[in-house]
Amino acid sequence: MHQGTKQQPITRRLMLYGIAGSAGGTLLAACGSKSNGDATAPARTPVATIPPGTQVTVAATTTQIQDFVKNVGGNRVAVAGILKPNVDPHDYEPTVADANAIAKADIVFVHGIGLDSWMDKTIKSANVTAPVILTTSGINVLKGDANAPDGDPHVWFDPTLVQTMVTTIANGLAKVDPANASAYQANTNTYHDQLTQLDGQLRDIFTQAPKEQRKLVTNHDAFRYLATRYDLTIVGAVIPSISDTAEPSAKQINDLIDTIKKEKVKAIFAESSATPTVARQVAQETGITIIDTLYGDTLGEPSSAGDTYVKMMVYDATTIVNAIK
Amino acid sequence: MHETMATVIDVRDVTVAYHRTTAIEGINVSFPSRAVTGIIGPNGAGKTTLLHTIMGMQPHQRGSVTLFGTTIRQARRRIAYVPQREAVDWQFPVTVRDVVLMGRYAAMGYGRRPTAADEACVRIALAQVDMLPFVARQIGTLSGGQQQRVFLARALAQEAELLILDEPFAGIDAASQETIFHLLASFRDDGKTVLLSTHDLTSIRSHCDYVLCLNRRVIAFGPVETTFRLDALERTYGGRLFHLHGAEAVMLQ
Amino acid sequence: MIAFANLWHDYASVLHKQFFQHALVAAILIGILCGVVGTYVVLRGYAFLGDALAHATFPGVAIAYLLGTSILGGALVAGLVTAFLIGGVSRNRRVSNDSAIGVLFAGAFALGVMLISRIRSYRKDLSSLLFGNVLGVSTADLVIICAMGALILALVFFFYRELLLISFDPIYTASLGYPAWALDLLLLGVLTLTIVVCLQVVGNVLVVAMILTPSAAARLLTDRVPAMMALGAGIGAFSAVIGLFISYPAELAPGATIVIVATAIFFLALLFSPRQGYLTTWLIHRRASSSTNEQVA
Repeated sequence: MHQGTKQQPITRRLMLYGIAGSAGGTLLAACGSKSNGDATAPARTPVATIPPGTQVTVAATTTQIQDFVKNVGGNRVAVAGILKPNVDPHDYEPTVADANAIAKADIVFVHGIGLDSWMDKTIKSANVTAPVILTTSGINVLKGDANAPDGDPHVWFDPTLVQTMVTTIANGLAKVDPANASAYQANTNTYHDQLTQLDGQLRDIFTQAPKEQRKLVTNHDAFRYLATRYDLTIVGAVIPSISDTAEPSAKQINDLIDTIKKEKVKAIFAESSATPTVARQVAQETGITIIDTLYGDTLGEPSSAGDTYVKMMVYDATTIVNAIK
Repeated sequence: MHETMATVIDVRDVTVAYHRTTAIEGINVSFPSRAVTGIIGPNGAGKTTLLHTIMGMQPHQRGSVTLFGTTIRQARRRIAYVPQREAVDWQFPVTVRDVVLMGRYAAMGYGRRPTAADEACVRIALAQVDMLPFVARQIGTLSGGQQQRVFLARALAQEAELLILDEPFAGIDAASQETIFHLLASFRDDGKTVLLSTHDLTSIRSHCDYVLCLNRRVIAFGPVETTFRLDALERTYGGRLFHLHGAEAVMLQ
Repeated sequence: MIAFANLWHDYASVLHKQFFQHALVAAILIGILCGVVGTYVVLRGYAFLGDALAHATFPGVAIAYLLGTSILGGALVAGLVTAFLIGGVSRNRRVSNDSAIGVLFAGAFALGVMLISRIRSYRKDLSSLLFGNVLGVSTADLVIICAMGALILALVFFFYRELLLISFDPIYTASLGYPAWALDLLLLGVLTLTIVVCLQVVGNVLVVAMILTPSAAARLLTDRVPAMMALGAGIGAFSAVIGLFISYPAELAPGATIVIVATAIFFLALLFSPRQGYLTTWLIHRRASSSTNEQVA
């Protein structure tokens, strides 16, 4: 008989819609998720320079950058911060308000090195015409790992690297607001001096503990630049990764506990923004203290001990040394 | 109404409505004790609703129900209910013995364990329905008639004085049906009462003492000889009926 | 050979560690609990409901996190509230049970996501609640798990007959005078408690697998409820131990490994169950047909 497998027309149409829809959806998703691994966004020429007497509207991602911009720009800048204190920068979803702030800004400062790659999508969709400045350009970045292929982004733990970032920020501001370029330069020089002083101060603090005792176990591997600059030894990390979105395996935890006991580490340092259950368990098992007040990936809330970059670094150094002495 | 007969269930002016329809309306009937009463009516007549209302499982908007002269709460210990067979999951991993033992649960109360007396009661009930050899079988391996007999055994294990059965003969073989009717008859002869609903009109005359014709309202009620007649049936079923074997009637929908 | 020696040494080392001991105990407890309570999930077809309740705990977790109170407590309250609401909504004739469950749990989960997005501070703790963190079980956590586990098992065994009744024949149960709605709620409460306890080990996403798979495997292997509970508990505990041990040298996520082991056991039961297994029945068929061939010849 000729009944065969001829499909009803409406079913066929529905199937085609379905295939087209899923294909289209997949395509869009693939395009959207392809983040700019190479985060060197080209600095575009500004559409117009800032009229005199008004403030430069700045959008800055990390709390550290927000602090640097305020130091360089003084009251000539109005800073809209995307990340707030104690918000994890590795894993952030910008809100509509964030997108608005970015769109309205005269200049946008990002960190780069994969830390705020979530900005790329927002910048594209907000149709940003203002210049997007990569504050860490020109810095020699430590090699990353599987979770951080662009390198280790925690460069702010080395004040000398911060000096480079500050210069980049000043150049950016000068480009959009050339009228105040000299003021920015002056502020930069002042801040550079503060940073040099900070570097010395940190070195003094850290040498209070003898080298064999300068061993750290951290929650995630965020302090390599600090270790390199001030001659500390990172013995291990609970989450053995530069990004904190990984979970440690049983073997990693086991090896860490063995290492802590062997190296006679005195404390695990976690950031105040995390309450990690595994770190607590490791501390309980090895009998060492867990210090969870460090400022790691972000500055602290206003009026806290780490609400500026300088204060944060001093607090961290003091806390670490007090625990390991 | 047969006021001279002792009645076990008194339904007074009961109306049950839900979902914007009235299921049964103005039901006034007294079911006599020591008798087998059949309830007949087409689909949607409210047979199950009436049974559930009597058992206190369905709230009613008007009227009252008295059992053994008191409320269902007080009387429940003396009543055993056999629900429709299709409502049960026959793949459930329970044996015949497990099911019949459920009839003893109400008497056991919370936290108590089954005693030897309970187990003996189970075996007696199974013997009464001719299902003792199947005591360890999973219920899904039984035929429809065997399953119904197990349900009946569960009700018997409750040692009740009143047995209420909802469509006990749906989809079971003639032999099982006869066994069950025999059992119900001896139940009645022991001085107990049976109330059942059924679709099958052919067995009413020979096996029931009283019949209630129901179609949302009481169409007719009384002893089978006087009540189970063509005119009452036609009013109940509203369809055409034709005669078979003279006195018997089969409904044609 | 050297690999085996290393492996042995590794295991010896990790078994001395408190975190792994805690993980083992917690996982075994969860395995037993899930096997017992999962019996009802399988018999009553509560798989979708179980999944829904697991996801519905999310807003409770978020609110508890915001208020700084116990996260397990928040999860429990959210789960119970959702269970109540599902019961109430599904009374409406126009809303099928499926729809009631789906609408409520999706809404609850979205509420949780919305609340989380309002939290400007770190959300790390919550992600471990989504995926479980059996390796971070502290002594205090273990005490809570044991206490809740004991409560759940006590409820199941004390009300064993009543729960069996309501699962097998709800209409008959009502005719006996039991408050059917209360018994249903009791079962939902026990289920929610179990889910909340499991959240810590396997997380939100996989907990439905734990309350389903060991019992589903047990169902294939026995025809009696008590045996099903015991087998389910055994399979659950076994999967927990093997899963943890495999995840160690292979460096896999422990929660997921446990679920994979349980699923593998399920497939083995599917194939080799003495009565229902696909392979066993096929073999019996072959033997039967070959013997008839012999008879014919």
